[in-house]
Amino acid sequence: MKMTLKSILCACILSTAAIAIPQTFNGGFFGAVGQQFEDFAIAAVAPGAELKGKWVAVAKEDGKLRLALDAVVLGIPASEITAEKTAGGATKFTVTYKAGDDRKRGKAAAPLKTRILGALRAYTGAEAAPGKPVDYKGARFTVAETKGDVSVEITKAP
Amino acid sequence: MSVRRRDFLATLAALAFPLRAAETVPFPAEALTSIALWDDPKFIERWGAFDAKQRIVCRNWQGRCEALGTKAQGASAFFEEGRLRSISILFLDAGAWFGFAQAGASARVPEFLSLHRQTSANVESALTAAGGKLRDVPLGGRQLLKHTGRVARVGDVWARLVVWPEYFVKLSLFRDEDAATQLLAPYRRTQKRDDQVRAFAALVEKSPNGDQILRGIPMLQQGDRAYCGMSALAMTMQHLGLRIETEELAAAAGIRFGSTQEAKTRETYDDAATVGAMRMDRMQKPEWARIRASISAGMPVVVFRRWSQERDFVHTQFARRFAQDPAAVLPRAGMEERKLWPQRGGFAHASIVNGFNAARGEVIFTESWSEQARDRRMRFEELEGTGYMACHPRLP
Repeated sequence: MKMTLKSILCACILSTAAIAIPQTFNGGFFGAVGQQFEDFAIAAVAPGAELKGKWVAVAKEDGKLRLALDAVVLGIPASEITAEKTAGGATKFTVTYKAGDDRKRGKAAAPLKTRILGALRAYTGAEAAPGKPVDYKGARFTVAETKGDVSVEITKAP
Repeated sequence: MSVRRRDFLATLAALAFPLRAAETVPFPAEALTSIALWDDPKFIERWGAFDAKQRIVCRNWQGRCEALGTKAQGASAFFEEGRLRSISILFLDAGAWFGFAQAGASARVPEFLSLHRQTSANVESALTAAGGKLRDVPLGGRQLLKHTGRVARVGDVWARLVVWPEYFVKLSLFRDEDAATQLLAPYRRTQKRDDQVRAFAALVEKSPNGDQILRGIPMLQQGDRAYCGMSALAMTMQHLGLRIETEELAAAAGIRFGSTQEAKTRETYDDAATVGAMRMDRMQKPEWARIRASISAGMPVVVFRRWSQERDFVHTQFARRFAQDPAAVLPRAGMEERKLWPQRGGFAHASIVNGFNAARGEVIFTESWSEQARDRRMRFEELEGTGYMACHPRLP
């Protein structure tokens, strides 16, 4: 009887749950550029590198641009991505994850900051923490949290 | 289904799924009639690079594909030990045509059915006009996979047309009549069981770092289709000598018009095993000892598990890092780490476990997405914590 019930439960799970096609590809930015945003950002903070993708100027903030494409960064959809640009190229990218946007995607067992730090560790192989930047392939990743929102700054490593 | 999720699936389809390849090298018409072309290095090259020593390789045509006067969604070639074994031209497939979980699919059904009728009629009449005398051949046993192939010799190539109503139209090409009329590889029909046991076990590669891995599993890409479970099964069964492809399994499972609602996934796994002269043992949880035993016997395991994009990122990045630094280790499965695993209520997914490393406590798994999604690593605790069914094929 117990086995029968287990079998029925298993069948129910399969018939309703096996509906996903998980993939490893991001949305807009990846589709437009053919590169993960984090990989692009590492290359783009080097002197003379060009900005790929569609960027628009931020009003009243000279040299600041906002990415006009959706992007999944460190495996999590970003709420906003901005770039600070000088004549020599991009100097800083700021990826912002808003807690409200994260909540809309469903309940997660771990806080947003923990998940981003975990993803950054997977990406760089180094432990990160707020206030403890990680240098990776010539770029510096700095994670900060403000009222539940989390940002990741990507700059050239010193 | 969020727009964002559909976007990245569509992106995958554009970038990785060959059925919509954009290059302009046309599929040569002579491939349908001339075996000599099959051994032409230039023709082989056009399927993309691969290791000729690999046991079974599946490659997709890199350009646009039209055959018998009908535009096809794509073509795949199967190579065994470096030699072209067969070519499958997929003229129309419901999963690819509808895409994954597209809104308004039901309104498009009449259009698809009309196209299906027209495509099958066009291909069949063109095949007949090319000199093929079609005869019906029963395939796939007696249950879900039961279907009819229309087989004919055209030139010196053997062709098998499968028209699965409401699902797909596919023409497969073979070197000989036996291959065109049988799904089970000759060695599976002729070898004694003990010889097969030894042959499968001999496929396990043992590395100095402790990896035990099955490498020759062909990549049958699911593309932008709700076919992860079916592609994983097709890849596994191809490895085990059953020459079945994703589309036949999806049709058998009843994944209608791209939707897995009410699909007979378990039953299709059982039936594929039966047609492949195997058994399919199902465990309600992945079990470490059982997985190691299966892999050591040369048998891949398909695990259904909860999946999240965030966790997939971690696995993708670790695979990248491990390729550069074999000393890299996954985080231990502590309480905090467990909170990062996909939770209940998320997406479901099927992956092929094709190896393990006992010392590192890792399973090695492959996704039906692309060659780049092979041989990823996960701590066994995570597979155990997120898996809800493991399918173990075995010889009876």
